[in-house]
Formats: sequence, structure tokens, C-alpha cells
Amino acid sequence: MKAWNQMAIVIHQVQARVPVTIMQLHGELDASHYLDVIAQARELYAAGTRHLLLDLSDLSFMASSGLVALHSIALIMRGREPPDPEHGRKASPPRAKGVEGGLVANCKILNPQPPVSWALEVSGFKAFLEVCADLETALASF
Amino acid sequence: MGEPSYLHIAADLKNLATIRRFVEGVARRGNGNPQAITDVLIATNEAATNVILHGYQGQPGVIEVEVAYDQDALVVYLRDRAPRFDPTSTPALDVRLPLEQRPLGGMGVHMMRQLADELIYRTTDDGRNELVLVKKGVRESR
Repeated sequence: MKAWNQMAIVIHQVQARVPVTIMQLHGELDASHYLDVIAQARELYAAGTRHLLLDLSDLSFMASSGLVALHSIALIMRGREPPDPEHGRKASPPRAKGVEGGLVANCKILNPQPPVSWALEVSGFKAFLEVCADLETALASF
Repeated sequence: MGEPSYLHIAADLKNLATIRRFVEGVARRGNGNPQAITDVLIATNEAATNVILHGYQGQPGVIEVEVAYDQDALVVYLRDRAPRFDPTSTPALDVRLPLEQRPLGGMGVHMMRQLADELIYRTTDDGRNELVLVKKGVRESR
């Protein structure tokens, strides 16, 4: 039987009020790809990215492993090292003073499709990842 | 109960998309509504991911997926021969926790509970694990 597990990551750099890196996810994000997404974000942060926009407009499906990826990316963008998702899926990240709660100011989501938006809703992720409806608004928000 | 459709497939993360396509095909042929089908696809994906990661734990194995309509409800059965893993027994997740206090894992079972109307775990007469996902109101009137 044919396999459909296709996903692509495309990176763009945009100069807004601050430099913004746009990470576009295309296809379907499940447990077969989520580590690639975390690795890409970690690489971007190490290379100097401090404002990250996750463009989910062409992501048609996201499983809970995709949420693990978003959670890990949010921590990375706060300068934290997330637990290894392969070995610490049940572990809470270590607490750090002054960074708990609220939206992550330097990491946002652009235009998720309804199934992905629904996953963000039921998981409570919209409490810490701001969702922007269009690119212009998203870039202006950094 | 309508005529069931079956898929036997290797327990491999690369096959998650194939499982989703199989369930989606059966659901659409039965004239299911798109939002309810999306819920079933997410829940089934999470159940299959748990079998692969927590049941077989990377060891070779097979997942049997059975899908059938029962009046307006879509019923998905997942069966496997992995060591016993009952996702319905895991504690509820608090999705209101802030980013730094949330565990990375546990979201899959949370999503299954949110998206399925019934979630039943049992052992079959021949010793297999069986998880039954029931989503009501899937079939639209013709």
C-alpha cells in the first residue's frame, strides 16, 4: 500500500521591525516527523534566530506529537532546553524564575487550518502561543 | 452495524498516514461529515501512535484497524499483540498549566478523550489489546 507520510519544512528570513524567521510546515505533522521540526528550530536558534513565526497555513493535519514539537520550540525560543521528547514525554521542563506563564513573545503561529486550529484549542496551546490570521499582522506583532 | 473494512499494517510511525487515509476513505464512502471525520482521524492517529511507541516500543508488530458505521456512529477498532497498554487508564491532563509546567507528553490520550464519544479498552478472546473509538453523529443524512 502506498505511504503518504510527506512533510516539508521551508525557511524564510524577513526583515520587519526586527528580523523574523518564518518556518513553513507543509503536509501532515505526526510522530514520524516531529523530531525533524524540533531539530530545525534548535538549529535556527543556535544560528541566531530570536523571532520565529511558524506558518501552518499549509499544514493539513497535526497530531499530539506536533504539539510536542510546538511546546519544545516555544521553550527553545525562551532560551530553555526542552526535555528529550523521546525519553521525557512525561517529564515537566525544569522551572525557571521569571519566565512562566503568558504568551511566548518571540514565537507565534500563522494561519492554522481548521483541524490544526482545533488541535491547538483543545490542547490549551493558544494560552501561550499567539495565533495570527495573516502575515502582515504577524510580522507587525514582533 | 455496517460491513466492516480491515487494514493490517506494520506498527511503524511511517504508516500513520496510511492508517489515516484508510479510516478517512471508509468514513467518506459512508457519507460522513468532514468535521466529525477529522475528529476520528486525530483520535485514531493518537491511538495508533500509542500502540507503536508505548505498546510495541519499537519492536516489530502488526496493527489491525477495523472501521464500520453503526447507524450514524463511526466505530474504529485497533487491535495489536503488544504488551498490555491501556491508554484509558492514564490520568487526566491539566491543559491549563503554563508552558514551563506542562509535561511534553500525555496530550495524545487527552485528545482521544476530547474527540471520541466513547473510548473502550479491552482484551480480546485471543489475547490481543483492543481499543474501541466511537464517534457519534458522523454519518450525514442522504
